[in-house]
Amino acid sequence: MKQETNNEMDLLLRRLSRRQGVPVSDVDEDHLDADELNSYAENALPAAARERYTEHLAECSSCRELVVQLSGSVPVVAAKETLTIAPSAFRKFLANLLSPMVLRYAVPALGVIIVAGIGLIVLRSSNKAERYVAQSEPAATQPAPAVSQTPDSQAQFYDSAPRTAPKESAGKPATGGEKQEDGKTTSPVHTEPPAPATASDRVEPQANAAAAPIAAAQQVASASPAPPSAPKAVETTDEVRVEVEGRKPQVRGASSNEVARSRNYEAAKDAEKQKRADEETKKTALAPSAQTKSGSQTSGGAFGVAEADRDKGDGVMRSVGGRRFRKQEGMWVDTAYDSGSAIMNVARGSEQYRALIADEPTIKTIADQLEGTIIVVWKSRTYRIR
Amino acid sequence: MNDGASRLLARASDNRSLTRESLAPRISAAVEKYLLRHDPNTPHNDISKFIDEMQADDLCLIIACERGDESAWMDLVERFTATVRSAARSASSNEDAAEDLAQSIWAELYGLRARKDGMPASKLAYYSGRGSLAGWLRAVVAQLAVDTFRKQSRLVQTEEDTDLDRLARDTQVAEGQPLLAGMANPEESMSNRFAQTDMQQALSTSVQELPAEDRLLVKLYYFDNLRLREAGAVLGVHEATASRRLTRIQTGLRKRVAKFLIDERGWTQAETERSFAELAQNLDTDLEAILTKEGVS
Repeated sequence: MKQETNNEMDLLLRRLSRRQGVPVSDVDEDHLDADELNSYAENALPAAARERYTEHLAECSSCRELVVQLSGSVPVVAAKETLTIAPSAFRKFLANLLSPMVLRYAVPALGVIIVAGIGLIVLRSSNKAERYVAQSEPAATQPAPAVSQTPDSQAQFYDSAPRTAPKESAGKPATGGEKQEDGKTTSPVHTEPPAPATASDRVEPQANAAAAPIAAAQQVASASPAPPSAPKAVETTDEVRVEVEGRKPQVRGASSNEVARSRNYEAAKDAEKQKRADEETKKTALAPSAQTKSGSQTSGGAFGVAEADRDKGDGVMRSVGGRRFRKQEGMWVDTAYDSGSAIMNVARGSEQYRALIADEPTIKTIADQLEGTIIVVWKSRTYRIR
Repeated sequence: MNDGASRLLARASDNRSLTRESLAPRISAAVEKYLLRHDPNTPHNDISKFIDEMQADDLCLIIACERGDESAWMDLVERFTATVRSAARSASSNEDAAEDLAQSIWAELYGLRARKDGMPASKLAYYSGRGSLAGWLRAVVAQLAVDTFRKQSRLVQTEEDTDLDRLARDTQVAEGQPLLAGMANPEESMSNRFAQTDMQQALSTSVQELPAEDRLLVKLYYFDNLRLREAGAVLGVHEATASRRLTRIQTGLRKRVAKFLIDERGWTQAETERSFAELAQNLDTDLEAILTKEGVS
């Protein structure tokens, strides 16, 4: 209603202005002078004076016209307009940025993009984790090579053949059924003894070259209640882990990242520990000079034999003591050997070896006829004779 | 007054070696013009405030120029040549006219004519120092341009003026017609004509009774066809303020018009309302007529 009223008055006033026209005063002396016009336009007059001039301007179109001109060119106003260009542009930009159209379409689109980006990142990170787990699982079976690159751990080089054994055995209980000579599964055997006494195994490669030091080492190792085991560092690691975990069943099917990582770490740690134990053993058994010399020679000789065996003997079959052996990477491996079976390490000349051959003379025949490391399956048990 | 002149000299960044005695007459003239002429009992504080708000540097420069200070003249020309040229260009139809106007301004400022006392009759004497010197120069240029145009207009009666006069006569004839053109009933037509005349008189009277500032706004907006921003600039208010003020004026005018029609013309309240309602119903028709006329003119 009020707007309508204003429209009516607006129309009436426009009509009135057309009828009356713009009255022009012809009395020059009644006009404002330049100083008054300028002072009015710059709003620099006292209130009373301004009111008087306003009265005049309301009636005098000539002065009004000049004041309008001057008001449009007042420097202060121009400066203000100049100064407000930048903020107004910025405000315009902000207004455009926050316009309803942008808020309606661009913001949801931006949200979708952000969500998609986050999802992509999460997906990629999960894929990375899966790949890492997939890579770390086989890597977990190979901590020994990394450690065995040092000359002192060359003994583990001989264990390269059953490297996948820990992984394969990881899915099986350590106490799982072992195969008899005919390959049939029998009742499970007790878990392999843990690894603390594997020092004797570590010095096994040196046994061929230096029996006395190894015997001394075995004596040191035999002080441990557990029999030597761990055909290689990984197995040793697994066994140690079993011991650490309170002799839990070796169910290693859970292939989590942490498990693989801890397995690697423990394997490396254990291998390092074994190396140090070997060194200590050697130091106590040999004279420093002789130890160094024989050790280096032994290591070199063993390495040379291994290289030779690997180069020329792989795949050769021999039958000894009623069993068939295949040469694999420098070792004679019983054809009945299952890589998933638990292996008991026995060093030639050790008490354990003497006890074994006393009970099973055929094993002595096999050990005498086959040089180097032998893996033989005998009465549901697997022995690695070195 | 001398104290005020001393304060003004102290405020000036370059007092041009002027003394307060040389400034006092100019300051006194400004106080007389803007304060004491209409209120001889202006308080002393108001006078001091008025003096303290004067443009000290500009006033010193102008007075130094009046006193023949060459360096002051050089400063004046150097600082304000662009201002004068710009104002002359705005007030002129072409570049030559603008250049002539600018030269005329400098001649007026310098005072080619002599006063009775032998001093040059310079326009600088009219600068009070209340507003800025640049604004004053623009006002001088604008006034001179208007005077020049008037002189030329008196000499030449153009064909365009004749056309405008004819158009004005046509408009007056058309506006003498009833509001709703084409009405068949003569009695009704006559009645409407009287009503429209009363309405026009009521509105004219009501506008004249408005306060000066409101009346000025109405004149600026409706008679001079300024935009609200421009009208607000003249009044020293923002566009939004001018808009609100105009709305208030329209509302007040309607009441004044209704009161005039009832009190002075004997209309009833119902007739007044009906007249406004008929006006509102025919807004479109009237606006169309306005646009047509504006297109013709």
